[in-house]
Amino acid sequence: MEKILSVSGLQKSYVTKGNTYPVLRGVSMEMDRGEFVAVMGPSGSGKTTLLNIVSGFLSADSGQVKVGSVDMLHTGKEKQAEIRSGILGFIFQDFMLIDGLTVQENIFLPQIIAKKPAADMEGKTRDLLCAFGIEDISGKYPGELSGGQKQRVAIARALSNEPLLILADEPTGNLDSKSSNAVIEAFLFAKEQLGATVLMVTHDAIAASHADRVIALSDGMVVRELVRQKEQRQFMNDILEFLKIVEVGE
Amino acid sequence: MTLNEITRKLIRQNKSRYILFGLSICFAVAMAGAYGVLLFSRVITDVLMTDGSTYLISLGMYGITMIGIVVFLFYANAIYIQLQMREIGVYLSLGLPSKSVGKIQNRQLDITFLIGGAAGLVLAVPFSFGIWSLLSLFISYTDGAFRVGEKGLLIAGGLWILAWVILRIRNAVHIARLDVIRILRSSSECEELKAAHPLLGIIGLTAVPLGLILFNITAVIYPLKNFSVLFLGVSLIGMYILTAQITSMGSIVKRFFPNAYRKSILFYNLVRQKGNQYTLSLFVSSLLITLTVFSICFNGSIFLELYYAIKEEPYDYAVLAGASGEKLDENRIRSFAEESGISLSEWHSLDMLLLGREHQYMDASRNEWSPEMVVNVSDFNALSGMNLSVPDDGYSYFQDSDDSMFQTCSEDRGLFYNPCIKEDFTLQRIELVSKESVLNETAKINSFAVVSDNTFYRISDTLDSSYKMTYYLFHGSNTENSSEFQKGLLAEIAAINKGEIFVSWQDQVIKDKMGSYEDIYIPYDGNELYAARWWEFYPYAKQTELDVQMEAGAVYLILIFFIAIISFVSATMIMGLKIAGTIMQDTESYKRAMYLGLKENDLKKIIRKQIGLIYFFPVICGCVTASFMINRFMEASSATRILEITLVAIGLSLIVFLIQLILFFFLQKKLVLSTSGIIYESR
Repeated sequence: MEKILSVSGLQKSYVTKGNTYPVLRGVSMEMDRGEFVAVMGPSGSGKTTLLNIVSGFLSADSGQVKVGSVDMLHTGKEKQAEIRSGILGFIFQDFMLIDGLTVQENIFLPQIIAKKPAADMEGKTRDLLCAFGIEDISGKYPGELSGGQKQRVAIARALSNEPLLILADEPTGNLDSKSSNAVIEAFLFAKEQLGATVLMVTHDAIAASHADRVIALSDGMVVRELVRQKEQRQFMNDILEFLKIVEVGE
Repeated sequence: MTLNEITRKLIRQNKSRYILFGLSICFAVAMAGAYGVLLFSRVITDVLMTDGSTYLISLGMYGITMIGIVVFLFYANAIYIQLQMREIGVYLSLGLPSKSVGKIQNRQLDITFLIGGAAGLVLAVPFSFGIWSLLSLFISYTDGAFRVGEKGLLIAGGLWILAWVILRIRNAVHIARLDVIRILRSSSECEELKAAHPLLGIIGLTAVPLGLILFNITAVIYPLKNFSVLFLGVSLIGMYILTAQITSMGSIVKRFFPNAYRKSILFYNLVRQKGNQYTLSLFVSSLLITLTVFSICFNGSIFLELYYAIKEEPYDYAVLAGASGEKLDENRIRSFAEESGISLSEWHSLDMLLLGREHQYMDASRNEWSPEMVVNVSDFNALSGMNLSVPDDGYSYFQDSDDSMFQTCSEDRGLFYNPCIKEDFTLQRIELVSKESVLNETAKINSFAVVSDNTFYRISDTLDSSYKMTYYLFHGSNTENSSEFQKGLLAEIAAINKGEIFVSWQDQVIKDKMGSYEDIYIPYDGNELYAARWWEFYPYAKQTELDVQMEAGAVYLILIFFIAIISFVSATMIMGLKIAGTIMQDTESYKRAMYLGLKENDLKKIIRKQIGLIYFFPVICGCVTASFMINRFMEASSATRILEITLVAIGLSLIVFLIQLILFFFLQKKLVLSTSGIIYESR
């Protein structure tokens, strides 16, 4: 299988008022093309920091991060921006849709930034709108959509440049259970039908139970890795069991 | 679809934020321009002498208000950028390089600045005209034609361009250094003040009055006079320290009132976190409010003092009559008085000569020639009731004043110049004489050299008539007819002078001593106010002088009111924008507190307290400082109406406070409701 993400020995500390607080302590992980991986762990375990380093928003103290063949830690800011528009897709907890643009225009935006030809852009956007069942709201503005619809638009936007890797930060964090389900279905659709590779940071055990693998972080280290081999319900029980251990351990 | 089309659409969609920012720019440029257009207009410079202290004060106020306007624009820009932040964050996260994002933002800033600033410049002139029309209601001595002070437009244009360039650079640097994660996660900023300590706050609190007291003390001690302004600096620094430390007030409350601290722990911590952010806005708005109250009172006091000085003058009329041509003598003056139904009494006359005299200093390079009036000792003794004796080779110098210190630094040898025989001659200075109420202090002639009768007539014989005058001082009945009598005299004097004002009349006596000299004549018509204020031959009538001075005072005060209003509005807008920014920024903290069980009413209280702090600290600090400052300034300038002016300052402070209180209730109601609505409805 083609390696899409390769993280090894990643270390990161924050210095506040003269004190050093280690956040990541030698994290290593890998992702293959088409995989859906969830990163879980208690607050402060380093999940979001890991995501921010992988996306190039944050630098690391040491270690290596490769997205495809690109070394994210040793690339200049301009180049990182190019990488973000070319091979990464983002999904945020707050959706981060631009309120002044319609659904269709929001999906256009990453393609415009990546300077895609207009004809390709139109076609790709139409396909994504259909694929996520949101073609009927394509002319609406984010303010007119429900939380679940907004997140589906955000996923469609993240997929619009056919990125190697989609990074999702608590994508179900602000949603009710119905909308959360819709979002997870959208992820599964993206993975199965469009071959997308998804790295999702989440607190939501139900959402994580749909992933192929769950990487558990605690105190900045990978403490366990759960691979889904069983039914979803049983997998979720395993995740909850694991989370209990981590909480008690803390 | 292209990025340009997206940007254009976003501008259309978010037009309210561009309009709001554009209006802020328009307001700033229009206000700076309108005041400048008026301040540098000839109609105003005619009223206010351009090198006089009143004019310098109004220039100083203009300068400080410009700083306030720039700070206001900075806050307007901060709010504008905060509203743009979501778009900026999305662009950056989708891989648009920060340089390109900066370019997009700067293009939008350019358009907003261009339209807002140009509209401001265009509006400055009609706005200025509107204010001039209001001022004209108080003016009867000028021709009243509005003239644009181009310098004001240039300054407003300069301010516009300067703010544009600075904000352009600032925004580009800000975007280049942006923490994308913070935007994407909507994190709030935390800028706790470094070196925060309650002791510093106490030092600041003490330094403000202490600096003013020391200014007052040193301003009246001659050798320390030059240093007195440094103590104003101490007050200013004190105000800054106090402002900077106000955000750490929680530490003092925590130490002495732990229960009260615990009750409002969220409020004190939210305030503490914004130490750096609050300092500039609180300091500048405090300074602007101080300026508002102080400038109105200080300038009002100048004219109040003048009003009383004129009222207490010893003579109702003073007329200087030249000896050349058709002479305006006692009989003619009396006949004009009779025509107006005025009977004259206490008649005094002083024969005068116009000579040149060298003013000599310890540093001889600073010596300079100037015109000097000379009278004979008999006339002087008859007028003053004194018994002055002057030898033939000497002179005494008289000034209508209670200040016996005048001219004591002069190293005067008494070198005079006779312009007709073109000869220098020396008279030994005998003494300096000062006495109040001998002459009219506010009239054009209130000091001269006194020589012996022999010397006076000996010099007089060598001078031609253009250097000889008689000065008449007298009382008159029926003050209600004073204006008519004065107008009759003025018409006669204007006719004698062929309808012209000989501006360089006094300087002609020393033209041989000056590097460059030319006779300057201006027509009387169209320069009535100039004549009333500066022409030596303008007949003095106490009643009219009151009107003229009060007219100038009214013009000046309204001008000061205008800049004070700009200053006040700028301060209020700085505070308003800071409040809006703060509440926006604290939404996340409020949400977290809500999850921890904070009730809606308690949240409203916290928001109200924050708004109250930003709103009332500058108002109270500014008003108290200004009232105390005006009191000390009056004391230092030996004013006679200190209590009245201090009471006016306190009254004005109360009005400022009241206006702010009304604005506060309106603003807090709107902000508290909208913020608690956002937080509690988003659950």
